[in-house]
Amino acid sequence: MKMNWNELTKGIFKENPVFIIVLGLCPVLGVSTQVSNAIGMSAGVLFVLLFSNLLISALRNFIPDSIHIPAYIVIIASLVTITEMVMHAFVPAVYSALGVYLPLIVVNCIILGRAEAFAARNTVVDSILDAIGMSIGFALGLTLIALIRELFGSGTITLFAIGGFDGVIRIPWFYNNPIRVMSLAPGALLLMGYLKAFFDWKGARKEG
Amino acid sequence: MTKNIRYALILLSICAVSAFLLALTNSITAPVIEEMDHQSRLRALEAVSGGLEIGEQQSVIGVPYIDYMIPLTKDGTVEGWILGLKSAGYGGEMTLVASYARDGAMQFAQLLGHSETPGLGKKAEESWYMEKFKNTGSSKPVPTSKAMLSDSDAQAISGSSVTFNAIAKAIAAGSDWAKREGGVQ
Amino acid sequence: MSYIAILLTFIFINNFILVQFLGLCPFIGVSKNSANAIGMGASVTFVTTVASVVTWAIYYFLLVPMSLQYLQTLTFILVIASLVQLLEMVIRKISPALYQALGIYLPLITTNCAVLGIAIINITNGYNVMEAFTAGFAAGAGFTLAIVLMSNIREKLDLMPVRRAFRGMPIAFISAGIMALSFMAFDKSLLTNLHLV
Repeated sequence: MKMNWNELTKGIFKENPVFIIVLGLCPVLGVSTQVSNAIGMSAGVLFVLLFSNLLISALRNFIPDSIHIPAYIVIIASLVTITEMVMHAFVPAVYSALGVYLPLIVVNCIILGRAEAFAARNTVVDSILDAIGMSIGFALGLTLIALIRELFGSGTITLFAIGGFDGVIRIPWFYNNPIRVMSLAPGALLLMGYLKAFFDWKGARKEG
Repeated sequence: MTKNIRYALILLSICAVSAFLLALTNSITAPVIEEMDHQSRLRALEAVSGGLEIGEQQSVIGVPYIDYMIPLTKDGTVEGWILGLKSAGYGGEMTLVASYARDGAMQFAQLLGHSETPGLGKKAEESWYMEKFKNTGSSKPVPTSKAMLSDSDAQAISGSSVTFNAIAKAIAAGSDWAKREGGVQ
Repeated sequence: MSYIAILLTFIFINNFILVQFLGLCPFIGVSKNSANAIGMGASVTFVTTVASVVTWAIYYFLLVPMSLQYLQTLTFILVIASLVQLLEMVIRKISPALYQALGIYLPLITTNCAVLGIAIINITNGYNVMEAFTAGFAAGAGFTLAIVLMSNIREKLDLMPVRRAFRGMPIAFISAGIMALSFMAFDKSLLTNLHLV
């Protein structure tokens, strides 16, 4: 079987959902105050996107065109609900930190967008690769923003508590001199603007 | 017409499969979640009890900030209370449990639920935060404004006065309640 | 919480776009001119208000009695999607003029985080039906306020010399960030100072 590796890599750089096509921003800015939240959110999106792409491409000849939107919504919403329940039961700290942004994966433009634009007209294998690529791209974008915001905003990097380690890395100088606005809403919007400008500038230089 | 029926059947079958899967997942996770909530509440009560015996929970009605109370006893006599407190923080409602002696002095406190900003109000989760209120409420008043804190303490909470005020007011309300109940006032 | 407190909270203190980032996609996408922004804002306000009441009723009269609360997300999104469809049909029948103004925005609203967001927040905050109605309206009004302000800024920005890399979306985000900074003036202590909590 021939694997279409291009489907995997395009989501990471060329069509990065966060910086290039700018999709699904609510969770990107909403949960990026801590690295651990970013990782939790990325895991949720990976799970939902992977299975929604898989199911929708497998059922693409079974679901008639005129009812495809409600059918996709049911599939995606069920997957999101499963994610919610599993996270609530097994990683409660992440569940409560993500709050309303977790059920909002349902209306995340990336999921429905990929279902419509890709999974509905491609094979299962290609759809899975597309889902993995897009999720990695989303995870990289989200984690980068969270890393910058947490480092400058509170001088820490929060991962997950394991054993005696409480999961919080305190960065010496930054911890005592945090730029607090980075943790707050305006910091997220300003940072997103500068990062988008950077990626637009890099893209333009490549073409030119 | 038959086409419409076919479409309806397809949608229905997708819904049925989804509902079945959700019910299945729920039956697995619901008991885990319930057990966990129960355990974490017990741990929090244990942590603030200061080694005293935890009694039955009773709801408190008509007192601002106070949701319920649990008497703390030693050899059958009431030594103090754990109070379930509620207050409005920066990100939304915060719930905490705090224990008081009969003279209204706050003993231990722990945050149960909140949605405060990391790096700012979220600090209230850390253990040193509640230490600032320890033993206040009887001879020393509860610090309800930054001016009542030492310089280094005020520095530590800078950027999150809303959270601090919310917690301080709830703890002060609890202390007043304990004084009334303990017959000091 | 009084109704005035709910209005202030959702319009200013927790503005859906500038503080909670709900509904950011249409905020960036449809804010290029003010006529569109007003149309989008009005449609969203309409839908958040109606959806708040309908999802509230479904949650408390259907899901809670059958203890199916875990189906919340699934039912809410289906209800919102059908509601938007229904509204589209009703508006087209009753008022073709209104349909012309709002019609093109309605399909975009199903996937607007703000609508599902307010439906879930109403339940999480334990609002009663009137509070949910107020919150739904206020969330929509806050969205409209932000998107209309933003469209005016962007109309002006079009005439300004902006560096090439910043043109379009980047400068829109930065302007939104500066707007969000000014919205920080409204915080919870506002409610305390007005004796609303």
